[in-house]
Amino acid sequence: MSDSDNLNFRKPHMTFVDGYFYMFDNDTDMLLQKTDDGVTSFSYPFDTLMSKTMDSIEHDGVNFWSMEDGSDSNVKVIRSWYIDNYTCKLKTTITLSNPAHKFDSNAFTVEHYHCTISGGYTTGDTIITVGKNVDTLPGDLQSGMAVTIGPNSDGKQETINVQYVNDNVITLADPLEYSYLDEDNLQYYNYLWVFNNANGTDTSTGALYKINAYSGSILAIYPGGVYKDIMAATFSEITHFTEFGAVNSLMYVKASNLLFVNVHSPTLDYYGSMAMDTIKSDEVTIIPVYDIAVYNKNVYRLQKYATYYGQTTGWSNYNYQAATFNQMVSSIGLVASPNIIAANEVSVSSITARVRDQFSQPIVGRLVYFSVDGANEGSIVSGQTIVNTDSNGEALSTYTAGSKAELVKILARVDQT
Amino acid sequence: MSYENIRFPRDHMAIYDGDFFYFDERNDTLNRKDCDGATSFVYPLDTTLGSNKVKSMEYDGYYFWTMQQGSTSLDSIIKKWVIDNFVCTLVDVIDLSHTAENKFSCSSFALEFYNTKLVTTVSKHSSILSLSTYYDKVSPGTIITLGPNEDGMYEDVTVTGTLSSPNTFGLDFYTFNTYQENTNVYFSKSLWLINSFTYNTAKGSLYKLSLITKQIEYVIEDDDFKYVETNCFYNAGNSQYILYVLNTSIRFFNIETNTHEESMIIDNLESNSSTVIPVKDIKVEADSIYRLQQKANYYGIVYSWATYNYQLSTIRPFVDSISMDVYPKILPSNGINVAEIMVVVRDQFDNPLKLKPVFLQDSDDIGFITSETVYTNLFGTAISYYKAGTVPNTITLNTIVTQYD
Repeated sequence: MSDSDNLNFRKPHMTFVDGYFYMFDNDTDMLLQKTDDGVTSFSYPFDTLMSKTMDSIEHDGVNFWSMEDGSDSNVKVIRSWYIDNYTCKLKTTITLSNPAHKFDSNAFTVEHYHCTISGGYTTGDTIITVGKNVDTLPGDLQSGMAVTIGPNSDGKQETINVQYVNDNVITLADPLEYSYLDEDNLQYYNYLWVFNNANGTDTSTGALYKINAYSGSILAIYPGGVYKDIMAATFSEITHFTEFGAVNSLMYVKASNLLFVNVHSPTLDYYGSMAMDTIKSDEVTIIPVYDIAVYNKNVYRLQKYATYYGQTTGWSNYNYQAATFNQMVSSIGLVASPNIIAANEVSVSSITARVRDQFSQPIVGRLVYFSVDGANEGSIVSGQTIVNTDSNGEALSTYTAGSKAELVKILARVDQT
Repeated sequence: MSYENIRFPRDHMAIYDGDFFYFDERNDTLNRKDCDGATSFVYPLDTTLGSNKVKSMEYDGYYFWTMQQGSTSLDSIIKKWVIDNFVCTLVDVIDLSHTAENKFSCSSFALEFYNTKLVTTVSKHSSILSLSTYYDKVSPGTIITLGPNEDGMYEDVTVTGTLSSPNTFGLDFYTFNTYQENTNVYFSKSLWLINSFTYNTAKGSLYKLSLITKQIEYVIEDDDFKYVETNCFYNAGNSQYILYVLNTSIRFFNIETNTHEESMIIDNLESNSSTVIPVKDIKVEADSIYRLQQKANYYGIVYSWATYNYQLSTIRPFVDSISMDVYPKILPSNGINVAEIMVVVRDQFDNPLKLKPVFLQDSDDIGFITSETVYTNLFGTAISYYKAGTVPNTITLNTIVTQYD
């Protein structure tokens, strides 16, 4: 399929905001905004010239963030940017440079939260209550951090430093400049998560660094090889896993899976993993994913190759591939027991089909259609050719042998609904 | 029909409940495939494997175990892994570096492990548990894995000794969780290494390594082991075996008696009937043996692939060979004389198969077989008779045997 390219990004990073894809173009010093067919819908010149290609970019709902190499191979620079009057302006710069740490990273994300205010507020107010029927904020917010309130009915929004937080009540360092209505937006960011290819200076393993997004100070280091060689990460509230509710999740691509980390668990527990179709047609080579973005139940992966129905296509530029959090049939495993039977038209074998989704969870209540390859003589027992999966995602059927000694191929098909 | 199935790019595997696993050192992943070769899930490793491929792997129901070459060809490394929240995490490393006394040029290993159940509920903060079976395999120091409980939790406990009854054990610490009666229990006892050295001499051997002390328990010297590429553990209930492939046979080595009890023929000869198809790994699942091969002979035609695929053998006795003899072989064509037909049916272990129906046919229009369906006796033998026809002729007798078990 030759027309499978879409974004045609020239740089290996992207972020997704409200239906548009963004790329930091250091060749033209522009923030490019593209539609999903690759058409440049807008561009924002930077007020600060760039000399290096960004490794990764993110958007926290208000600001763009970028990460690039620093002055030497042990230094990374993370910047935040905002769009003001059609220009992308530099807001903050954090330089990760420390002789005790070798900062060698290709992926980072920004922990950020989106809430609504409770009640109306007018110009001059300094105390705001967040959310209805909640006792606490969804994520850490401390003095010295900032919240962005709005836009209000006039399209105005403002960012104000926080003086004090008590449960879900925020005391602002400065009074509000504009008025806001009940359920207007309040957003904030707090931490950066940097996937580093070294734990301190030890490059034999990786580490996940938690960094104050305002001061740049290292708050925690989580060592582990699983954090090494990461190229794509993002942060979002995930509501897909019904047993967990809404989870503010750090997500990153490792091998051909998207891993979900609950950043509020003390040990950074994984609570999910999603298989992705990022394996080349040789069934071995993993297609690199350079960046990811999540929007509702969609996942956008930036790749230079993609496998479509068993055939791998490559491009000179970077394009997105879509994945979904909606439960999809991802695999059907078949087990025959016994798997060697006599060819006497009498012997039978129990056939179990196990249907799982992309999260390796069982798919319940789905019809499985059993059949025998046309070249074979045996058959599926009448009445067991269409069977529903049970609570374990399993459907059971029975095969009766034919009269010819042969290798039998049994097929199971499941329709996605 | 294409005969490829799992299409493994590496020559080792583990099987559990219809899923096939291998470790890939290129991507540092544990890969899970369906029986048709589709990758159904990938578990990233938390620790890189390094450049040496995994030679052999085992799965005990909870932990994965791998063997790789160490820093030299005389060293081996065994690693223990667990899938923890979707990531394959390294739990333990057994470093088998060569010494003046021992060299570890190992091709494969088998993990002696047992899966059983709790007899009674183990409450949170308890230090006692009782096992339903295989309690005679537990020793002080054995690490037992319990789980999952109703909350999906697992934990490892270490046995200190036997208490009031042979199946009740004390633990060195209190359990963190409650585990109901019939909760699964997993424990491993020993590693059995196929080594091309006996101590430091280049003679094949089978090493038994205790997982409690991590010391060598004993070494069985046999130069046959030099030619063994794969072995695995097989628990037959009352007896436990190390299975290994030697040429065209799978040999059953009883680990209690340290004797070879059985040998099973497998169909890994090329169509020239002399070239042996290498078996790179074997695993037992239910009563089937899965052999990982890069070639296979299907009904006289050899197929070879770029990947490794499994071939099946069954452990339950299955009709493997039929031999027929007739006495006398020459009869007068007088319509009266009778020849005895004796059919011997054997299984893949070369043992006689009893009570199997044997169907006999002859090619003569007038002569006939007195009983066309007969059953094998305890010695795998079925007897029938052919009564001569009236025309001098060469008669062909055919026999078919099947089984319904």
